[in-house]
Amino acid sequence: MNAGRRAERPAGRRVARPSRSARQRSPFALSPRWLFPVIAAVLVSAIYFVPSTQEQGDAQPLSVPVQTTTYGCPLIEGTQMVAGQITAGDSASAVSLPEGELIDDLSDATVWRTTESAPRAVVLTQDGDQSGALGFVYGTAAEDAGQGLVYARCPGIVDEAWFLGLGSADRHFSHLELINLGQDRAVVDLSLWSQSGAIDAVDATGLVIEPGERRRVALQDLAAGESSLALQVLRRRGAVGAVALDLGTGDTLQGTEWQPSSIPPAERVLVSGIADFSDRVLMVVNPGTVTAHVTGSVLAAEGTFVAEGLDELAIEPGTVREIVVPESVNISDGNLMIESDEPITAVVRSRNGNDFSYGTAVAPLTGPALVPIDDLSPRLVLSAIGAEASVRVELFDAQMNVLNSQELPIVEGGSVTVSPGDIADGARYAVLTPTGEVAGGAVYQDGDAVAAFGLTSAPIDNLAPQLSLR
Amino acid sequence: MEEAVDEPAWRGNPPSVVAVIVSRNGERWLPQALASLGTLDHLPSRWVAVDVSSTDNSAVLLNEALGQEHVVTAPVTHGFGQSVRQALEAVDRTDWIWLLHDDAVVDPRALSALLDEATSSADIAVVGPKIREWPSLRRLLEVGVTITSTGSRETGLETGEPDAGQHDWARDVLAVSTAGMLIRRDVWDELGGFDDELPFFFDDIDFGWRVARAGYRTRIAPTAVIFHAEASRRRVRARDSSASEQRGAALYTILANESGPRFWWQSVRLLFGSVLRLLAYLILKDPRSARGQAAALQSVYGSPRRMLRARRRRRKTAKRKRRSFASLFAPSWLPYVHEFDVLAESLRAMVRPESVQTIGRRSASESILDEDDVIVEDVPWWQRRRWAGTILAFTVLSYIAARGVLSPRLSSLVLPPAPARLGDWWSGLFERTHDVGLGSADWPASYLIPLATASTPTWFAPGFATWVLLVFAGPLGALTAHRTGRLLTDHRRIRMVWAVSYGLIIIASGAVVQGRLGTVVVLIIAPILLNVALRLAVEPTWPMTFQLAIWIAIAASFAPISILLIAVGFLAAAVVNLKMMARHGISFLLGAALAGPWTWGRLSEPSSWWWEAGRLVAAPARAIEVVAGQGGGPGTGPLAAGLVVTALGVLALIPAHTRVPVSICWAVAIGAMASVALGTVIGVSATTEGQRLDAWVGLGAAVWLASLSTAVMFAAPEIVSYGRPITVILIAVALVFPVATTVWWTLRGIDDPLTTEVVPEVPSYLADLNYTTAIVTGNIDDGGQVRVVTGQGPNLGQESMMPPAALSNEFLATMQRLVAQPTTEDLSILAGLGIDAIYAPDADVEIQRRLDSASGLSVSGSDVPGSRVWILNATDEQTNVTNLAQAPASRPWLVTAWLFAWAAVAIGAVPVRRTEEIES
Repeated sequence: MNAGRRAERPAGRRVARPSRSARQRSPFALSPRWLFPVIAAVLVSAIYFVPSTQEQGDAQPLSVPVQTTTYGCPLIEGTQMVAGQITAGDSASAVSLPEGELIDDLSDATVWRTTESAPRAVVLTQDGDQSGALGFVYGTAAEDAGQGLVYARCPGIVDEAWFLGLGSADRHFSHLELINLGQDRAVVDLSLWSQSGAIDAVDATGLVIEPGERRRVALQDLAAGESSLALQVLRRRGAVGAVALDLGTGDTLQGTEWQPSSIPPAERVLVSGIADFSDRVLMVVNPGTVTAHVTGSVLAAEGTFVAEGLDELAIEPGTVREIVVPESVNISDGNLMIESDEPITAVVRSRNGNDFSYGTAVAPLTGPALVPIDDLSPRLVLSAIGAEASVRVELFDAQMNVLNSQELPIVEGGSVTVSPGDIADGARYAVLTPTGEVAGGAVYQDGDAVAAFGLTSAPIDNLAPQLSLR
Repeated sequence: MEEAVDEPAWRGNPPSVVAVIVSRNGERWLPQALASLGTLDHLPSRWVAVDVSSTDNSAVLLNEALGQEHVVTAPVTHGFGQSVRQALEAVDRTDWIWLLHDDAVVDPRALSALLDEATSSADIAVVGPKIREWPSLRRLLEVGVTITSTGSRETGLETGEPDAGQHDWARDVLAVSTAGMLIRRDVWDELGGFDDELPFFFDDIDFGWRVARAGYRTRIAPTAVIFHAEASRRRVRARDSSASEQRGAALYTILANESGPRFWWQSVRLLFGSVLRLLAYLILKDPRSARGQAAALQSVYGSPRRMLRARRRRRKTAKRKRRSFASLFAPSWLPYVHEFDVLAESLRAMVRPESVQTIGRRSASESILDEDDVIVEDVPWWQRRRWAGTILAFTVLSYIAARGVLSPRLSSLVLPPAPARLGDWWSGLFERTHDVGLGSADWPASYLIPLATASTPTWFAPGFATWVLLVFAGPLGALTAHRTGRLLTDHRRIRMVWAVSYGLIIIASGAVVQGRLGTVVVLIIAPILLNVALRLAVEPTWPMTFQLAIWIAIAASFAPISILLIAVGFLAAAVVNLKMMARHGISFLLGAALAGPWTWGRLSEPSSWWWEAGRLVAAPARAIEVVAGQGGGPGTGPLAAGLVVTALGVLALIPAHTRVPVSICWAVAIGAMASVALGTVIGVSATTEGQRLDAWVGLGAAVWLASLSTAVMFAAPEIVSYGRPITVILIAVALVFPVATTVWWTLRGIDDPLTTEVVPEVPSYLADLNYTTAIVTGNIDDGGQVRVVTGQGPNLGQESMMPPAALSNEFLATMQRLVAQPTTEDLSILAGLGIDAIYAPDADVEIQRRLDSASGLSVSGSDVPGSRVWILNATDEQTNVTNLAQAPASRPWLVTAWLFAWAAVAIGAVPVRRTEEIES
């Protein structure tokens, strides 16, 4: 037991004195005991090379099926609402605001349904496993509202919404429509940028939208006399939907448009849903603190082309810049890709003498998208942002029966244009199911009247963090 | 004239004194005792000796010395008092009676000094000498004696206290020993002498008590000295005595002499006290003393008439109230000090297995002093007591290093705070439903039993034991290592450096700073465990077997992985010598059983093996850190210093003479490193399906380095043979670790993340409202964690309480949906699970936004920057928690049985107590 003592007085114990040959042997001579460091080195190597347990088990995001969808439609005179879904839902409940009356026309979650035109707001809540419920507002606005064509998606709960091309001068009136989609008070912050810089608007932060409230905020109350504004809506709390109502009744701008939110600033945004008019203006906002250098390119049918006149554009920090898109740039069968060295977002406003529309910055589709057809069949322009992709277009009647479908291949960096009305007659809506990285928009045109919106995925799944219990 | 002034008055007219020598089988001492009487400067006027039917030559010796006419014979049944009485009947009446034992030698001035004191006041009835030990002649035995309220004879002296004149002043005492007692004859007659009911024990105290009650004084005359062999006490003289005699005499003395309400109080107190003593003796495996207690109770409480007679006799002579001489009794706290001594000694015997037997109170007490220390006068104590000085310095440095955490309620990310009340730990053991998070019916944490037990003496500060363990982990580890080191090496300096290094290895592992209590406790007790295991191999006794089981159980309770390491070690030893390890197997099985269901649960799932006491917190450790004996994370020691020890460990393989012990150390080190590798591969998680985290492998890493350090200790003596330059260099290198680590540790301190602030896991107001809060962390891309806390979060011991799997799964699925897309239905489910709030301390913005949008969740303030809180707006109906986890009704009973099992093994582990017969 007492090895030290044994070591000290080996002669007095039973420990054998090493033989002469042993004493002469080098201490480093091969001996089993030298295996210990070797084994230890092997174990340490194992520790070194084995990846961290946490690295082994990186928790990938989970795709959680959406069970309930809520969206709101702030209607104006002359417009009506259409509600639909990818698959039939279990139930739907639509109430008008601020009355809180149930709207029976919209309560059947198994069909494509429409309300009568009425200047009211509607909040629709639909239950169902991966129902993918969406609503749209469409129609022609009244004369005092610009008399323009409107086709737009009803907003769901927004976290951060961006609107460009808004104004408060020259009979160009823009409004922000906020609608509380929940049962608790909602709060949003607004930020505005003009061509001359950020605007320190009064009462722009902490806007409270009470439950059941639809609030219309006139931009001239926040920033009067501005011809080109960019607006950011940041939800602080509660559930709130936001959409911009842009209308013009003057010589510079005539018409009406519900502008859906563009995606938040990024270094690469695709502006989609651009109407084929000669008067097109690219509007870019750079909310950062460093000048952004922007280049535009067109994702056309054959592939990507640099948009002449849209290269090396400098956007001063904290400003909005309007750039006229040269007539030589043909975007009729494509979408506009804007790339920047700083986060920006952008829209393209197309106009003629009677109406205008916006092509907005959109994100690639992560699932099927819905497009209402109704009496007007839109022109869909779908782009493959990266590698070649395809889109399956299925057309349905109001009872959600499939009428026809078509698979549309898209070349790498190219676009495809299709009018669903050419695929089947009597369709009420189309479901676009992408394969690959696809984004696009829909343009509705009725003579001089035009409306457009960028496509967004129907709420089928939500990405959620993979949670573990600790 | 001057001489006449100095001469005491009695010298002119000396009082008559009869010296009564009581002898029984005292031939061994009588020649010297009788010879000393001849040297007295003042001789008694008469002599009489009583021979109590001696079977040796005592009677002959007495006859030769005193003459046959001065010797009387008493029957063997006579006690001391009866013998004295018989002797007095045989001689003429004198003024004073001087009682002497046959094993006592008197100083020449003994009688004259006694008379000096006796005649100094008229109310002095009894005078006793200072009694020193024979044959040492230097140690004090008695300078007066008294009795404690629990019936112990109290001298007020330390065991073996040398006489340096420190008690040399005459004073009143309750009683004096019968050896050398000088008694006034009239008082003797008035009180009737010694009580015949007290033939051998407490007769002197009883007499002194009666003297005091009668209005007389008993004095100690320290200038009168006798030297007493205490032949009966030391069992040099055989005498038939039962174990009950002494205790019975103590009870009798107190109850016969106490008066008024105090008599009734003492009757009840002594009854219960004796029952407790009886149980204590059974625990200490001293059945003879236990029987003695029972017999004593029976003899006193079973004979009320005897007691009535005794009290009646004393009432007749009593003239004073007790309070007038209350100062002569022992302080009321003294008995408890004695009981503490016994307890401490028993515990010490468990911690130091080399002291296998105890001899009761004030046994030979070993201290931190190294018995190898050479006592050299005229040098500072720290040079004489180097190990004690080292430990003292280590302790002081520990205190300095703990400057940031001086309040005894430590916590960290890993270490939950101790509860505010100790009772919470004990009551928590018996709960069927633990109010933790979603509610749990889990078995209580095994380590709560030893921790709560250790904390009970400081019930006012439940976290004190934890504080001591963490703050003084270094010195404690060094102490246990040094104690074990005595079994391993004879080289004092090497052993000291090794022991200190071991203590520093605990600190450098990072366990202290991170608050990893499990690792700290296991590393502190590991040397004890090794010590006991080694001793059990050579001395297979049952107490040692139980001791090993206790230490294994404690280690397994605090760090379940340790029991696997122990198992591997025992199996390896069994391969070498199966027979020798039989007891170890029993200890292992017993220890594993004692560790209880909580530990078994941990061991049943490999991903829980590395989850020690405390919260589950990931601890990624790099390979090089492990090689340096560190577990990774904050608060780990200097990397290079640890690597130096590893390098020295490799060099330790060189000397051929020490290859066997060094190889054993390397084998242990390899085992520890293998456990680290396994822990790295498997990881750790709270549940089978839970996310695997990087396991804390600091325990294995520290054992690795400690083993190599031990290998170096074994090989160190051999380096002398390599020549002076190499020796000096190697010594310098060997000191790198202790020096560098000490400097680093002292400068850094042990705070951060260890803290004394009990930081709630949730914002303060949620803690104050005792809300049940779901805490969400992480982000969408990398995943997140969710846990539930109630109030400020779990206390130590509650952190591992998990809800039932079904409840967990329901909660997790609901939270998963909630962070994907919150719905009111999910919030209702959460409310039904008892959740009051959701807290995101650093959650992803996206998650925050989603929760912000939920109807039924109100955003609330948070006192932590960057965090968010949502309160559930639930109705009473929603919050009605119906599916609360609850353990079966048998749980409290099973826990009780578990505690009894711990107690039984602990009792079995207490070394056998050797009873010492005490005789006056």
